[in-house]
Amino acid sequence: MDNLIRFENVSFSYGTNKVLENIDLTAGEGEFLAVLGYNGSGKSTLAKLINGILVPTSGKVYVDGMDTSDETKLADIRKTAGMVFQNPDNQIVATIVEEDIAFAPENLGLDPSEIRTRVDDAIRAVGLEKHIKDAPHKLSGGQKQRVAIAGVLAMQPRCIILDEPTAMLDPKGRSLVMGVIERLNREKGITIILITHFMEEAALADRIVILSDGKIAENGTPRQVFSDRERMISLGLEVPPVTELTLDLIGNGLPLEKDIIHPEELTEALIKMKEAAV
Amino acid sequence: MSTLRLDNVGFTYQKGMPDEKTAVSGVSLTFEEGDFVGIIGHTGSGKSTLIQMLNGLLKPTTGSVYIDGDDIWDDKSKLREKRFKVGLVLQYPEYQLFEETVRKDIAFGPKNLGLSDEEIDSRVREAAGFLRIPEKLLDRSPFDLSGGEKRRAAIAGVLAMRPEVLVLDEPTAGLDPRGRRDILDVIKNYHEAEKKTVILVSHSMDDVARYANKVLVMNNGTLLYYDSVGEVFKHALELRETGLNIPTVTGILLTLRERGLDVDTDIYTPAAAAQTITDAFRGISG
Repeated sequence: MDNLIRFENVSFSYGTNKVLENIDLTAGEGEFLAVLGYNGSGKSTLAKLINGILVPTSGKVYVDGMDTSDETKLADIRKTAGMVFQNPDNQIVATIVEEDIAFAPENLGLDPSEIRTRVDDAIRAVGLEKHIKDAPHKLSGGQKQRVAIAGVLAMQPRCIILDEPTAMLDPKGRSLVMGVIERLNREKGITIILITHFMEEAALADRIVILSDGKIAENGTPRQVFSDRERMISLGLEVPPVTELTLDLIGNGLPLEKDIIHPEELTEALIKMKEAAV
Repeated sequence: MSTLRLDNVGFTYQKGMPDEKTAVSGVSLTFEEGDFVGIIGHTGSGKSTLIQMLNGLLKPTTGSVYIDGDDIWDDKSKLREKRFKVGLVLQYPEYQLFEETVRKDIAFGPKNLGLSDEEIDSRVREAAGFLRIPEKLLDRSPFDLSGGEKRRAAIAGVLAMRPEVLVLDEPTAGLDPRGRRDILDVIKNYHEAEKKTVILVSHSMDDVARYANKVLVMNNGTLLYYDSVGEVFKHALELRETGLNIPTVTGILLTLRERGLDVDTDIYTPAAAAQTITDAFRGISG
C-alpha cells in the first residue's frame, strides 16, 4: 500500500503545552486505521494535523505527498482528506439535506449536473435517499451524522478522518454509521482514520494506533493490541467484552487463542471444542 | 422511605397543535427505595421525556407522579420542595458549570436552600468525597479541569442537594473508557453507601447489566419491560427486534446454548460467563 498519509517526526504544542511528541505514522491507501487513547492523549490534535486545520510545531505531515504546512496546497489537501466531527449539530449548514451535501462541491465551482450526480451518489452511499428533501433538524443524531459523512463524500476524498463520530449516538445509530464507514472502506477503497473510544469499533479496523501522553504507545492489528488486557488497562482503555471473556476462559484452562476479538470467532471455537470432546 | 410512583403518566409535546407529538404514554410503575434502575431505549423512545417528569421539569399531560405518596403537582407551593427530593443530572452536565471555583459550583444548590455556611461546607465536602474530587481541585476554576473531572464536579453539585432519588441521563456519554468506569464506580459506591434510589439512563447494555438490579425498557413512548435484570434480558430476541442489543456475553451464551452447549444464559458479565462455559466443558469431559 502506498502511504497516503505520512507523519514524519511530528510534534505539536499549544503554547508551552506539548500535545504530540515525535510522531512517526503512516496510513496506506485503502487502509482502515483506528486511533485510541484516553481523553487528552492527543487524538483530536492528530486528526486536525492531517487535513491542515493545525500544522506541526516541528516535523512534517504529508497527504498524498503534499506538505500540510504549504498553504498553496491546502485546498487540494482538504479535497483529498475530509473530516467528520463528533457533534452532528455543529456540522450541518443548510436547511435541506441535499443542499447541505451540495454545499462543499458548489464551492468547488463544479458544473450543476456534476454536483447533482455527486449529491445523489453520496446520499445513496449513506443510505438516506428517502430523506434527501428533509430538514436536517428533523433527523435523528445517527442520520445527521450520515448527512455529515455524505457532505464529505461529495468532495470525493480518498481519505476520511472521523473524530469520535458515534460518541453522541445510540446503539442503532452507531451501528448504522459504522456500517457506512466499513462499506466506504471495503467497497470504495476510501482510507479511514477513525478516532474512537469504543473498542468494538476499533476491532473492525485493519490496524490500531494507541496514543498515550502524546506519543504512540501501541501500533498493531486489533488482535495484537487487544490480546494484552493489562497493557490496555494501563493505557486507560479496555478490551472488548468478547476478548475479556476469552482471556477469562483461558485463565480457567480452556485451550483458546488469546487474540479473539469477534463474538462469532469465540462461539465457533467453543462449538468446535465441544464437538471434539463429545 | 422515599418512593417515586408514576400512575398512567403521559406527555405530549405541542398538545393541541397540528404538530403535536406524544413522547410518552400510559406509564405506570414504582421506583422502590434503594433500587438501582437502568433505563434503556433507543433515541426517541421517550426515556429523556420520562425522566424530566420525575422531578417536575416537565408536567405530565396525563396521569400523575407521586413522591412519598404526594402528587408533585398537587400543591404548587410545595413543588420546589418535592422537586429537590429528585436530583436530575442531565446529559453533558458540565456545560452547566458556571461558577468561579469548583467549590462554589457544588455549593450553588445548597446555598439556594438557605443553609448555613457550615452546613453548605459539609455538604460540598461530602459530595466531593463521593465523586472523588480531591480537595486541591475545589479552589480551581471548573474550566481548568479535564472532561471527566468536570463531569464529576457537575454531578457533585446535584448530590450536594442530598436528593432521595438520583437520576442520571447518560452520565458516561463522550468519556473515554477509564472516565466511564470512574463515573460508574463512584455512582455504585454512592448507591451502596447511601442506599438511595439511583436511576441511570444508558445506551450500554453491558453497563446496565453490570451496575443495575432492575431494568426499565422504553419503546415508542411506552413501557416495554420493567423487571429485574435477569427477567428483562430473557427477552433477548424481542429486545433485538426493537433495535436494542443485549450484553455481548449474553448474546454469546444464547448462541452456544442454541448450538447444544449446556450453559446458563441469565448471565451478563464476562467473569460469570467464563464460569458457566467452563462448567459446561467440565460436564462434557467429566
